[in-house]
Amino acid sequence: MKSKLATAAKIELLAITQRLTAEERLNAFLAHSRLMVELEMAGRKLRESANPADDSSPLSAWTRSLS
Amino acid sequence: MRTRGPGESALLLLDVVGLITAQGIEYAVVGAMAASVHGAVRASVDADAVLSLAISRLRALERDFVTAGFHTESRRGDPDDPIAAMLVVKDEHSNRVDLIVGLRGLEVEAFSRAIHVPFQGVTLRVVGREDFVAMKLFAGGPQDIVDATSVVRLVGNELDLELLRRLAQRYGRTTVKALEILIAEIVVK
Repeated sequence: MKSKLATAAKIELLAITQRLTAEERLNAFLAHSRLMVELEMAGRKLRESANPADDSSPLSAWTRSLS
Repeated sequence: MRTRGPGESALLLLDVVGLITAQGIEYAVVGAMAASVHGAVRASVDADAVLSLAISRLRALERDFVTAGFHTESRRGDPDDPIAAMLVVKDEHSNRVDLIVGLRGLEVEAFSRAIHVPFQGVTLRVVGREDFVAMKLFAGGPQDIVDATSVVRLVGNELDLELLRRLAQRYGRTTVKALEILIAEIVVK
């Protein structure tokens, strides 16, 4: 997909990061990587709690509340 | 060690750099950390660096890492692999640093062109932007192309195109072609 809008948004975002110094970028990299791993772990926890065998999981409770 | 949990491969790299510089080994940070310095900031679960080191010295280096308390894994590339060997350094939090040895096409001058970037109290040597773009185009994966494109978008007009073209040639015809497409698309002449 080629979108002028998406490309313009990407260029704008790149221009914003250009205002950071190289040191600030590396610190942002570290922060970003920490958050990404946290998010991945949260997702894994959620998938584990969604196990149908585990009826007490928050996802199971939520699904039950829908019916 | 500086790492306290997962997602801190950049901090593990600082420990790794401490050990390799103490031995006088030249290195340059590449991969996502270099992409963050030269182009768009993005996350990664690992950190990468290329080493200026003879393959024959890799085993001794690995022993030094093990002695210093790191977990390591060394891998050899096939004869047709553009990477001759890789030493993976890990910690107990699954952080990892990939140390690349013998990257085909890499100019030895890439180490002297590396730029100095302060990070967490250490001055890191990060591969220069022309070397970075050429290496990424050579790697050729989807993320590599995105990384190279980001740099050219950001600083296309400031790039040393003569150097970049020469570096691309070292990596082969496919890299030269990819570079010319990128330049034609993005760099304002």
